[in-house]
Order: sequence, then structure tokens, then C-alpha cells
Amino acid sequence: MITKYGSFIGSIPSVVGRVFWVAPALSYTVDGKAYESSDNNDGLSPDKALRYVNRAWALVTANQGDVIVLLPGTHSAAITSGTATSIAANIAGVTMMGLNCGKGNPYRKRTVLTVAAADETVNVTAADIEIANITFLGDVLNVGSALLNFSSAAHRLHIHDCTVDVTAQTANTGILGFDALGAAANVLIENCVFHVDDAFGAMVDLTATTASVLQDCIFSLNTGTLAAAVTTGAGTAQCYIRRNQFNCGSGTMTAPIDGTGADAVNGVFASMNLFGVNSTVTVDNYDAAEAVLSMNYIFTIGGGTGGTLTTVIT
Amino acid sequence: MSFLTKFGSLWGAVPQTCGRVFWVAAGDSFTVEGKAYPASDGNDGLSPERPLRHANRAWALCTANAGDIIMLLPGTHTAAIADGTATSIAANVAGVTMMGLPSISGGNMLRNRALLNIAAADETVNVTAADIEIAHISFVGVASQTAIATLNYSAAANRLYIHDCLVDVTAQTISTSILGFDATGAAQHCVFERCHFITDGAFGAMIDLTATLDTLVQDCVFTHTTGTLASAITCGAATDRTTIRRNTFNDSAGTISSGVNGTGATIAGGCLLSYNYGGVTVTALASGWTSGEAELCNNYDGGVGAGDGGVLYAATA
Repeated sequence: MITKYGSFIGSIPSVVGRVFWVAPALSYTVDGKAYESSDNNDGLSPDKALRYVNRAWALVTANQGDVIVLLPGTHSAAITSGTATSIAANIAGVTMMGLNCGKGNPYRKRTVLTVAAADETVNVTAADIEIANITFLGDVLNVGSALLNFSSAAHRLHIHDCTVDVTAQTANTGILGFDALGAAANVLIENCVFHVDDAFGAMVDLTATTASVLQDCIFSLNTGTLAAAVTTGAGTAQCYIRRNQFNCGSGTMTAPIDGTGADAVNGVFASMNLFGVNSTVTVDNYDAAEAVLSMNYIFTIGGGTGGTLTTVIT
Repeated sequence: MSFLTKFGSLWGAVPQTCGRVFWVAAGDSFTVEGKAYPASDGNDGLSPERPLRHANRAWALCTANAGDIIMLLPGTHTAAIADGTATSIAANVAGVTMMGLPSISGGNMLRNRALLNIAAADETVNVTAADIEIAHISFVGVASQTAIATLNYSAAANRLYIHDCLVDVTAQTISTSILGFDATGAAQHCVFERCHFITDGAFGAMIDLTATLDTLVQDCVFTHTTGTLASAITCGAATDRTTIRRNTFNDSAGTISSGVNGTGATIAGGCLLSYNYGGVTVTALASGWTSGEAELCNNYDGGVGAGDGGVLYAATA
């Protein structure tokens, strides 16, 4: 039985808004047929896809359940002329997601997003935005910016099932993964994977955020020294960092979870995180009582204990 | 308001793919909604009422990186060309998903309803392209499939994702050359998740990760019923940035000599093992590693009644 809206009786629709389709290239294939994308299309049908994600953000309506679907392939953030430009995620309540065409490989999604410029790929400056199923691939032209930043207005930002890979970029501590610019609340980052290979900035920065959760992520360092994988700082409060894994490879993570500048008592709860052998101090630079630890372990190598409980925060 | 969207999907639902769905029947006819339909490799396969006869034909019809999905209907599928000659499935089109039809709840990972095998001494599937996903399929080997892996994946199989699948080799003649999923090159970003492996003798490894990079194996169950299995998972030269976690190695009345074997491994810190659990007669949860190649955290050997309740595993040599 079909409801008058066309959905199945008994099933709860996913969205009430429009779905805007974006193609990764001028020519793309849907349902076995080739089409041409254009920012002059309305984007409301997969056979009339938009050319750039940026255009989709200009068409969505705030808080109406609109969804931007990025077709599989490598998308470049750009305006209609093709000039590389950060995506302004400034419309509240919008979901931007890659299309898995299946369950989707947790390590790297088929939809890739990048910007060929010295700028962020995405700036989130509105509330209730969801970003999912996207590989953020750093471009060599991005020499000193985060891949995604989110402002104090980005309350309830939800990023999940995404990958960040900065290994094609020139190492720079100014290159971060997801970077908090202000006191956003209720930010949830989960099921993400971060690939790093040298002295980059933190892959997740939660400075000043409140009531936020980072969970079930993998931070994979290939080589070199990464000062911090996750940073909290002044104003970070009610922050939960749990069930993440920090792999050091042949490199070193100086402080996988770094609390330099933290000032809130019991501001960070870290639990069930696992840290590679080459973690210098797993949870570091917190003053007494700023970080609460439970069941965090560091790996050991042959002849070791088989896993050592972490208790140090300074 | 149009209640079905103008491109035919249900209102309120975000589509799951942008590609075509190719339906494949397990036999010469298949029943859909109570009606029988003939399967043929001459069909277009784009409707369950016009299914293809063999998965091999579906792979030939797919377009690379266009979201195409091959849906194997319930039953036992045999890899073959149109005339019925047993032939390995060449999974050589990038970005294709091949899956069995999952049940409403997502399917039983211990044994899925869509079975796939090959009646020949050859691999059932050869993966030689990137971004391929394989799910909800029971790879149940038959006796004529001797001395070869069930599925192998080459250096080009980057981002291969296999989940919710079964590999059962117990009907095959025991041979260490029979593996489950076998790496034949340096593929990167492969993930094996929620798979079940059943062995009953001295077979090869059920997952081989030699030379792979950035690989994840998690939430799998290795059931070994009798005899001695040398290794359930093997790593080797150049295996790097591998995470193996939350797997269970059950050896029942048999013995698993090594849950995760690192013989030949060369990369310091190349493999991280956490929250894996071994049976009582698993000789070593991790072995064959030299110092520093494998990192361990909270892996446990099982204990039997009145035993210790589980012993933290610390050795890797």
C-alpha cells in the first residue's frame, strides 16, 4: 500500500525536503545513461544534476529538510565559472552527503570532495547541518587551511562516515581536518577516518565547543610527527571523546588528545580510546581535573603487557 | 505536490544509488511475487522479472563508477558464462556493488541466502578494479574447487569493501592452497567486516593481507571445527597500517595455530590488534611477528569453565 505521498504505509520518510543532485564532472552517468551537468539545471532530478556543490548550497532552503547528494566521483569546490571556491555551508538544516551505492567503504568513500586553492573545502556557518559519506581529499594547492571549519553558529553539526586525507598536501600545522572556530554546541563527529603522514595540525579541533561528541573514529598516522590528533582548548566543556583509535604507524603522535589551553573542570571525558605504541603522552596538557579518563589503553609490542591502561593527563 | 517524485523514487526517500540494478537469478527460472520468470543472459537484467542467469554476464553489462549494482537473488549461484561453462567472475569494473538480496533486517551474516560458488578449480571471484563492494553473499565452496582461493584481489583492488559475507570451505578437499580472501598485490584501503569463515582442516588463511596498506578487518568470526588450521589471517611483507579488531577465533575441537600470523612482515608498527578473542585451543592469537611489527591491546585468550575467564594476550613472536 502506498500513502498519498507515495511513501510506503508504515515507513517513515527520511526527508521532507528536496533532493539536489550534483555531478562530479560535466558528463556523468545515471541509470546507465550519460548526461551533462550544469549549474543552470534545477538539480532536482539525477538527470538534471548541478555541476558544482557550491551552486546547490545557493539553491537550498533553510530548515526545510533539503538534501544535497553528491554523485560518486571527485568533486571540486568551485563557482559556476570553475574558479575554485570554498563551499559556504551557510544554510541551516541542510544535509550534504555522498552516494554510497551500497553500504560504503568505511575507510574511503566513493564521493570525494576537494578544493584546488589555498582555502578550506567547506565552511560551516549555520546550525543543524549534516555531512556524510564524503572523502575530503586535501589538494596540494591547499597549503595552510583546514579542510573544513565550523563557526560558533554551527550548532548541532553532525559529520559522520567521512574520510579526511591530507597526505597529498605539503605538511603544515596550519592544515587541520575539522576545525572549530567558535563555541558551537552539540557537535557530533563519528565514524570518520583521518589519514596523516607528517606534521599537520589536529585532525579534529574542538576548542571552545560544548556538549560535543567525537566517537568511533580512526586516526591513522603513516610517518613523521603529528603534534596532536585531537585538540580541545579554552572553553571546551562537556566534551566526550570515546572509542577512537590512534594509529601511529612508523611515526609519532606527540599528544593524540591535547588539552593545551583547556580551562573547564571535567571538561573532557575520554573513554575507551586506543593509542598506538608511538604515542608520547596519550592524553596530554590538561591540568588536574580538566580531563576525566576511563578505560583508555595504549598498545604494546611483543613482550609487553598486551595493553596498558592510560592514566596520565599531563 | 507529486507524491512519487518526478524521477520515480518514493517521496521522502533519499535514493541509495544513481546506477542501474542488474538482477541475477540462481536458476533457469525465478519466482517474483508468486510468478515464475525465465532467467537468461539474453535478458537486460534490469528488472527482477527479466533476470540474468549468471553473475558473470552482469559484470559484463556494468558501467564503471556509475553506481551500478548487481543483485543476486536468493539461491545457489554458480559462476559461469552463458553456455554454463564454469568461469571465474571477473570483478573488473570499478565502482560496482555485487550483493545478495538482504532480508528485511539486513541479513544473517552467518549464512546469507544468496550462495555463490564455482564448479571448477578456479577462484569464484577475481577482483581487479577499485571501489568494489561485495556483500550479503555466502561463498560456499564445492568439491571440484580445489587448491585455490575463494576470492582474490589484486593491487588494483583499492578500497575493496567486503561485508556480511560467509566463506565456507568445508565441502572442499583440504588444501593449504584454498584461501578465503587472498591479496595478490598491494591494494590499499580495503575493509573486511562482519564476515564469517568456516574451516575444518588444514586450509590456507581465510584472509590474507600480504602487502596491503591501510586495511581494516573487524567484527568477523572464524569458526574452525576440527583439524589444525595454521592461520586464520596472514599478513606479510610490506603489510602496513592494518587494524584487526573485534574478531573471534573459535577452534571448537580443532586447533588454530595462529589467529593472526605475521610471518614475513617487515613494517614496524604495521599491524594493530585489539579486542580480538581466541578459543581455548588457539595456540597463539598473534604469532610470527618479530618485535615491533605488531601492536597489541586488550586481546584475550578464552578460558573454560572454572578457568580464568580470559587471559590478556601479550606475545607476538
